[in-house]
Amino acid sequence: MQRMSLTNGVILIVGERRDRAPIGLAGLLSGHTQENTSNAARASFDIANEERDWVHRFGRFCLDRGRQVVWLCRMSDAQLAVRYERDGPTLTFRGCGELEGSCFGQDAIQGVWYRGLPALSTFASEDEQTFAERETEAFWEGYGYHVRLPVLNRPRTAGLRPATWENFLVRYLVADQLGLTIPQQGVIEPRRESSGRVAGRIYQTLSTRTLLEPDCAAGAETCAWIESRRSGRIAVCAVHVGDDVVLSRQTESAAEPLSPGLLSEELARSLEAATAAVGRLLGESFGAVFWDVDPRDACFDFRDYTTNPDGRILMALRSHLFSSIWRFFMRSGGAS
Amino acid sequence: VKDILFLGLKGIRTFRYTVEKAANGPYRDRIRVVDLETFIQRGSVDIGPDAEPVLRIGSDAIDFERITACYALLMDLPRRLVREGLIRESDWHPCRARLSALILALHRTTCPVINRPLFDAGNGSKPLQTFELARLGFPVARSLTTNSPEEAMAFAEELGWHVIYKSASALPSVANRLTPDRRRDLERIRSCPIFLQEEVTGPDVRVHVVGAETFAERIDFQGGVDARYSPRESRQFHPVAPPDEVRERCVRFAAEHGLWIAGFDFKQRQASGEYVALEANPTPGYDVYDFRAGGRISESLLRLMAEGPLDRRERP
Repeated sequence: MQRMSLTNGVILIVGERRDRAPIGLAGLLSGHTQENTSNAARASFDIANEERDWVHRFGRFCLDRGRQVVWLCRMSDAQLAVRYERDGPTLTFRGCGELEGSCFGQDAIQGVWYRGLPALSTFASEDEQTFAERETEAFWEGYGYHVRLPVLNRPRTAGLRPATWENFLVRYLVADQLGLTIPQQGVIEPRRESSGRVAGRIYQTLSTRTLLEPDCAAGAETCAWIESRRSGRIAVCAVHVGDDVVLSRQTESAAEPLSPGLLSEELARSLEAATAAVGRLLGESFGAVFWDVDPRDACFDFRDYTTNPDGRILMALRSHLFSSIWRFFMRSGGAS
Repeated sequence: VKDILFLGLKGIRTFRYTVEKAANGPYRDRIRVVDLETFIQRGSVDIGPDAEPVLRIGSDAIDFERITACYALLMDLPRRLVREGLIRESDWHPCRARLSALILALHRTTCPVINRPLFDAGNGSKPLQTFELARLGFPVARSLTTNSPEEAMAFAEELGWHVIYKSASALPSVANRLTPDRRRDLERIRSCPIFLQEEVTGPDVRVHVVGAETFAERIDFQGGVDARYSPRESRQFHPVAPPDEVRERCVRFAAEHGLWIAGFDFKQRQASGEYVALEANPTPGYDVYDFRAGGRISESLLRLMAEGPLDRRERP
């Protein structure tokens, strides 16, 4: 963000959140589907803008506290080298282009925030583009997985990152390993239910993960289904940074602080503990759990998890999250 | 007595070989085979909330309740196939959906799956996996990933140009020597990073792990840096017994990553005999090694599937 040689306390932000369209969790939570493409496109645009605004504001937050944020949006904006040694990998960063003059070594880095693949040059063919993207991902997976610094979130291959598997699998993992309850779910074949699909369920195609209303699930392909949120329950979004948890009420477009008294203190504490346990189970230092909560009976079901809460949620909760993220990066292990 | 299930493409040599071994072995009356191509065209999966998954193809049903272990060698069905006209768009969606449903079933079942889909042991990123192997105590080669030609050259100079380059990901590439006459080619890495490693001279060693058993072969060869691409006539194969600590680490690495079978690639340093770990393959093409080993690997695999011991709840 600023043109200077950096010697200490750099927070390196890598790439951008890629899944901007609200296909997955936010839509699932609010019951929205992809029927209205213009709404979806507008929402996608809003999320992208909020994302950038969120990162810029976080950069200013850090700068006010004496730390420099360097945001690598494009791979071509830096000459990078990672040496793998006994004590872990060491990165050398030499900025160019937009980041000309930002030069630092491993010792200067306080922490790394991997938000997704940085933009790459355009290649002549789609195959070359795919190759370059995968190679670049592997570059960051190697560094981000092994570097001995706070990393939010550690990039790694899909096999080592169950949080990125199908929502269906993540739910079973959480239920099996933590004993938490989940909504009913399953897989259904086309035309197995003669009069359309069952009401009270949300369907998702398995090839493109598109959400479908029951009447639109016309039997074109195998779908996963999940029970809709039951009446009397509310959607609670719990964003965690390490074990710090911020609870919010999930709304159609974002999140809002919980109104006082909506959840009992005991229930709120249980939700926070369960959220932190899910984060630990999945090995993620940052993410959001979406809960179906029954405030009256003080119980809750695990519905979904994302490692990439969308920018609108983050902006709504920034007053809490900035300080949580700051604490995460300032914990031992980073540069002094 | 429950069945043992084989799930994969009949066109894939390792799968075909494994099924043939099973069909001619002591458990031949217990085998069920599902051809992946047929399944993704016509199959279906039932996964309910509280029951083992059931696979169906036509009138044939396979209930995982009745399966003792499953050998699965799945392949991806990328969109590229549509782009290249190898599959119609209208067919891709239902086929891809069935493949995803199958992956869900293979994770949902409590039946041991060799190996469960998605369990990659970090194999998708060489720098990640190499240093995951180092974490378990394996010696590994000095390595660098970079998009800087200057850094790449400095690394090569430090190592007297005894350096090889290869892809950082699992995408196919041939490892090769970086030589001083290729300095100008390094300009190309500005747009795509490269993975460089110290060249370790010596024979290749392949170690297969099946459960807690290991099978190893040394491959002496000349020319090139990878025996697979060296002149065929220069290759010589020898059964070998790696040191205990190497075998123990292989078994531990596989177990930690939820793999019942895995193939480990090593270079054995010419001078010291040290085993330098290169890679751990979660879906090893073990058939050619098994052929030379007189079928000992496949016997072990089939025995493990048919008789155990297998933990029904393995997780990464």
